[in-house]
Amino acid sequence: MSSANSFLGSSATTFSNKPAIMKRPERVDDLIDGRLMARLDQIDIVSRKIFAGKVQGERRSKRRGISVEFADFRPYVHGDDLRFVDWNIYGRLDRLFLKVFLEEEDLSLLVVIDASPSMRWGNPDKFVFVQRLAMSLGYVGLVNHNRVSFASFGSAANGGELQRLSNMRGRRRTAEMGKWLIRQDPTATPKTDPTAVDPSSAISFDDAMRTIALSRQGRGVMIILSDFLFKQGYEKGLRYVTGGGYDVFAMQILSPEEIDPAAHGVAGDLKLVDVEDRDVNEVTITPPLLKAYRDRLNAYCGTMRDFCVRRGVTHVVVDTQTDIDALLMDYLRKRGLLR
Amino acid sequence: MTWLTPLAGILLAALTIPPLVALYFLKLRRLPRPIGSTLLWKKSLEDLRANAPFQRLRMNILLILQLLVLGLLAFALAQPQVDTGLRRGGRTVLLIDNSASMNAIDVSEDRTKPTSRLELAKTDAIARVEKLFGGSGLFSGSAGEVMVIAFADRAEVRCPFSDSRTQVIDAIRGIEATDGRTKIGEALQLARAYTMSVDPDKVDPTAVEQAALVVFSDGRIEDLDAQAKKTGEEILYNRVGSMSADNVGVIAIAAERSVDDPDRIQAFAAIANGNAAEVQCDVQLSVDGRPRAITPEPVVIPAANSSAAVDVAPELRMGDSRVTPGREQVVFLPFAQPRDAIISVRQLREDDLAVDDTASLVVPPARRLRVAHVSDSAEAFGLKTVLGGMRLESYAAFSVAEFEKLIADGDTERFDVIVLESYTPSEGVVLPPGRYLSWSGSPVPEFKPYAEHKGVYFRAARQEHPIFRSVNLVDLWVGRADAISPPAEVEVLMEGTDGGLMFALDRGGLRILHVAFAPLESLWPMQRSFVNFVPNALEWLGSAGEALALAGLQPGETASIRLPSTATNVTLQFPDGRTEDVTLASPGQFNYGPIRRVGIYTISWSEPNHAERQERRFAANLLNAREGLITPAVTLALASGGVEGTSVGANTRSAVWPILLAVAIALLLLEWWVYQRRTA
Repeated sequence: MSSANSFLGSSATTFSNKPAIMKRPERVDDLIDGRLMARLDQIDIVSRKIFAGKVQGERRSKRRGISVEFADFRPYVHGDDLRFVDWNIYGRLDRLFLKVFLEEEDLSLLVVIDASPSMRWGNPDKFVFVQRLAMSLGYVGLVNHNRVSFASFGSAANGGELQRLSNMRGRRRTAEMGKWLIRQDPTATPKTDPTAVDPSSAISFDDAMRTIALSRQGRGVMIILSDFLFKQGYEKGLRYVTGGGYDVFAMQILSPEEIDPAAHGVAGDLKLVDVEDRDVNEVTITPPLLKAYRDRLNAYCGTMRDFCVRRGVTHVVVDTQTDIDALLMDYLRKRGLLR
Repeated sequence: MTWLTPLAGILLAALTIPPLVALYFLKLRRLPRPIGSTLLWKKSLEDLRANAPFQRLRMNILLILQLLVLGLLAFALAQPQVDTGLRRGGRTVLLIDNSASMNAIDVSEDRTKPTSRLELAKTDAIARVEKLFGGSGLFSGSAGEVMVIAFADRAEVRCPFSDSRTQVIDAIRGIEATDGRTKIGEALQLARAYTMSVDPDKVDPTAVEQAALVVFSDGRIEDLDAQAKKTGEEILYNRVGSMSADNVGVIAIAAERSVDDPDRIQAFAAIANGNAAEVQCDVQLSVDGRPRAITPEPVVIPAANSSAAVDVAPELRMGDSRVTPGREQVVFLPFAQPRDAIISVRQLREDDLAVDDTASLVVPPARRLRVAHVSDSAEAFGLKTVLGGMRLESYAAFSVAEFEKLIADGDTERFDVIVLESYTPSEGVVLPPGRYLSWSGSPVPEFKPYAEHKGVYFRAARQEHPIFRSVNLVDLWVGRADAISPPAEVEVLMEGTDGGLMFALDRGGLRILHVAFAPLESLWPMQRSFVNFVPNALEWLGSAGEALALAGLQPGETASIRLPSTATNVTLQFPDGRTEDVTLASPGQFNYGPIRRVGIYTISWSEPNHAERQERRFAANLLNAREGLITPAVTLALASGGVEGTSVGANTRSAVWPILLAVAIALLLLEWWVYQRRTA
């Protein structure tokens, strides 16, 4: 890694630069292959918190209920299920007591992907990387019978609103999940997609996070896949979803051009045009400017990491050149997202 | 608007503005390149701009506003001034000096058409009034009220507060030159009195309304030390005159007839040098306008002395208000002149002020005195002996009764001096005008004794007075003297251990030298000083003293001359040839004043017994070293502090910096607002 990536030191990935997949996925197989699926079958999503789920699952829940794991006794009150009365105690004490068990529940996994135009940039393409990573994480959730939901924001498609795919469980939903991911199009415009609106009218990160926070159905793990390069800032949006029921993972996806522009052909007198808001920035690439850029990137990521640490959010910076297999099987296991 | 260094400004603008504009026009052809987000690049550029020592200038409203603010501040710091037609509204008092030194022609551009300082001051004052009433563009408006005061030895309101431009300008034009001394105290008093508000609606009816006092003068003002600037008062000093003004003048003249040979006259003069360097000049003595003598060698007069630091340029040193002119005495050899004559002393060096180049003196004819001696005392021999020993035209002794009969007959004018011994007028008798040497008694109410002193010793005398010439009074002892408490107008000439012993009173035509004791009640008649004193006193009182007294007339003073009581049709001829009929206030008493110009004045009158008109002349001379020092004072050194002078002829300007500062603050607020809008 070059010095440009010094912000990765403590909280981010350290990957090898393998050749990236440039092809945009058209089929589910393009997102995840059988070999990777076989490996992912062995791992599961881990939450650092114990959540109350909706249906009985494989996880220990704080909620007392039906399971084989005894928790406590409590006096019977009118309306209690008579099946859980401990008749032996009744025989001895002539009083009704209820046996209370720890309930085992499912885990809710919500993967939020940034489908704003800025993600359709970079080599490898940031959005392709996000689609593949989301597919893998979703697959892990599905095969472990977790309740998996997807949300996508920032795209002009479908009226520019927050797109959802909710409450999937089980391996058989894999194809549906893959198709939904393929349908997400960061570059949709009214010309290419009749349902699209003007890109500037697409839902913002802040609004998307607020909508998700307000419509939360249960608790679980939330993984946000984005470059977090929002001109209005990421702080407000992240504040909506921290401190609530989610164990949040913020995965900052950056392209190699963003991490080290000098090494990827950014040079000369340029008119940099922002693909999202068409903002123009005239620059002359000089060593002092490159250094200032690196310093600024380090500072930006460092500030975000500090922000996340203070709010219990796990912050991970990921280069799109990273091998997803290695990322999942190695790094994310080390960071405690998977086991 | 006035630019102190316009060339530098143009050069700077030419060198900086085109490149600056070019920088704004400069546009690089750049390759468009889409990018995920310009967020980091934008911030990096900001970082780089914050840290880089140089960067390309960009069109930025904040930058322009800040540059404007800085420019305005720098501009304000340079204190530009615009000719705004001066102070607008309010009250302005123009104080114009018309003293002798303002006659100097050092401000003339062309010597063949000399312009006096007064004319320049008047021109400048009129220009100032025009500006006060005029102005143009942004600064035009009403002038408020203007008052005009001319001041020399006395102040004169030429125009009270007026808002009529014509009236004010006419008043300024009407100011005439005088040869008077310069005193500003009265002028300031007048100005302040007129600016006193008497508006009954005001809470404090005596509040002084702020008025600007604009002084046009050369700053050589005698009573500056006694003047103070009042709180809130604005005094502007417009300095008139060139720092290289050149003047040499006669500051003293005297002529004396010898006691032994009254036909011969000896003349004395003092010449003063008001320049920073030593000068040489010839001095000429004229009798009745005809040159009689000239100094055999040029008189060398030392440079003026200044207490200012020695390393100051000579011109500036001369601008110090504490400078004193150098002086030199000139004595001419005695010459025969039995008749009356006008003796003039003239310095022949050409300079900027002509008024003080000549001093004149009217010497009466060499005639002896007619003396009357009035005494009832048997002990009058002491005086009688001395008077008898003098060479007099006539001597007559009278008893008191005879003398009072003379008074009743109006026949006292036959005598030049009347010696009174222990005389107190009888009931209803008033001492007529005349010259008297009085011993003891109470000839006039001013010398009425209130008690007696016994055994009085001499203590002090006005030794410089002509009557004490060669008079040594150290051993004088008086056995009995009248205790007199003289009023203020009486001059005390000799004092004993218990109070005044000799007094002089000069009231209209009456001049009395009164001694508070009888000669024989002291040891004085036994001493030689007595024999010297009596002739001195008679000479001073009589005609010999008259010539000297008339020589002492200076501009601003009043000529008070005794004429025969039968004199009628009195006219006064001025030095410039004009004549004016004069009405005598009382028979035989000619009073005229104040004297405005120097020169020879001639009084002529008719008498019933004479077919020809009678004449008497008197001279008025400047004889003032301070007026002769014509280098203008740099500052008006008031007791409360100096007022820096502005050279007349320079434009009068108003400071623009407060306006620039206000605009800069407004721009700063605008810049803050723009910044807040950008960062909010």
